[in-house]
Amino acid sequence: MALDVEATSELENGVSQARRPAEATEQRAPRVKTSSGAPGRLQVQDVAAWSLRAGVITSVSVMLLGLLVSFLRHPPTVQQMEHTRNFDYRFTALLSGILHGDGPSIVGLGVFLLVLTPIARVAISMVTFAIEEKDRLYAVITFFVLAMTLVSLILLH
Amino acid sequence: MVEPVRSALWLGEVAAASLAGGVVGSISGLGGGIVIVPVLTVIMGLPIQVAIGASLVSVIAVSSGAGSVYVKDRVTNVRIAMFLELSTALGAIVGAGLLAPILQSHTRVLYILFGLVLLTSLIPVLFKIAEELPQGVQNDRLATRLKLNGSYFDHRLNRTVEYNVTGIPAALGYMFSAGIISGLLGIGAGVVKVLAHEIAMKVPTKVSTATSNFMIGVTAAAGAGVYLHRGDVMPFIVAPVAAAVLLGAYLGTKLMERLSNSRVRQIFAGALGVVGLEMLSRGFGWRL
Repeated sequence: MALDVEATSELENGVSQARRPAEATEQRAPRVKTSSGAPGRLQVQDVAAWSLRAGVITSVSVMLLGLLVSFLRHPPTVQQMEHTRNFDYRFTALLSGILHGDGPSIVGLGVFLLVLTPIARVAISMVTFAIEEKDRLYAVITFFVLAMTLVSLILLH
Repeated sequence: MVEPVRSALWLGEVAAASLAGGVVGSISGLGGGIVIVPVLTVIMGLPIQVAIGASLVSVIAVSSGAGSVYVKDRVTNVRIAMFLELSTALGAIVGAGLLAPILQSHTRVLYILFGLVLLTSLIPVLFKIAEELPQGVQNDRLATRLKLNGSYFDHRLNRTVEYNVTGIPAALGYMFSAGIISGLLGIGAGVVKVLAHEIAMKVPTKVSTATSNFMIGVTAAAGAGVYLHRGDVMPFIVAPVAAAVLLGAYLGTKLMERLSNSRVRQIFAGALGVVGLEMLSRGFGWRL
């Protein structure tokens, strides 16, 4: 079974390609590097994981804050909760809602941040591929993914 | 019943469905809508658009929450995800920009076709339902060129599993179709992504679902504008959904890493069947 020499050579130290993966892998450490970045540099996986976690925890906290504010000010009935819709997603309207302490507007900000999270992950990965991993091919691929994601975000409206 | 108690119970109901959705979604790589949509529509009597808006938020939250764990633990193959996202993103633009205006009046037919395709694709999945790891897979040319093969530490087998990747041209086709479907129907089409990894590329199932999980967040975010604009993302629904689904996703990742590949595939197969039937029911207008 052919192993990719480029990806494994730095770990296997030139062990024959003919070795079967099942044998070859037993001695490996759990966290195996699959990228070809230089040791000690930031890897795209760690950067992506960090940006996703930061984004999702921030946005969900903001949404819960919005829910809390709504209930502290005047608890909505089931009827109201089922029908409160139409966030005004223009940023200025959202901002003025937040400044007036409007719970649903705060939840709206959280939704905004949540939608931005995967897009930010792509952008941050692109930078990491380019600068830290010095992987030009994947930096370009990621750039096109980012560009097309933004195009469809604008197109689909 | 006192009104605040009723409100709390209602929120609890939404949260319970979302917790379950988060667990199933993070293991199967589909993102949670599979549980949330039926509960919100059938049990709680909310309109389908509202349920789909909630499902969109759920997909992004599960993708990000579970993704952060799977990526850190190297179960996700980031290179496969990035490369295939090219094809999905292009498909989404073609679907939404070129095809949607032409096919807009035929959405029901599209749902039925998609449902039938999904139910048919259950067959190859069931064929290898008991297989733990794919055997004898050779990298194809593109996979070698793009360094798509990889390895992950399997907690169940207690060893590092190395895998090769094949069938990239077919996978690009799957992903392009997944994008078209997302653009046309406004759904994440995570099932098609898992199928591309499973059937075309022959990567281990945990890598399939974790990589699909990673990709669906971007696809969902790209299509979020429509739902936000229409007001389908309702504050008192999506806030409990996002919080509970995130907790569920976290539990799901802990569970998935300890399950066998074969068990993960069984869960995916079940989910695939449910999604297929759900698409048929939308197409035929059945109220489940």
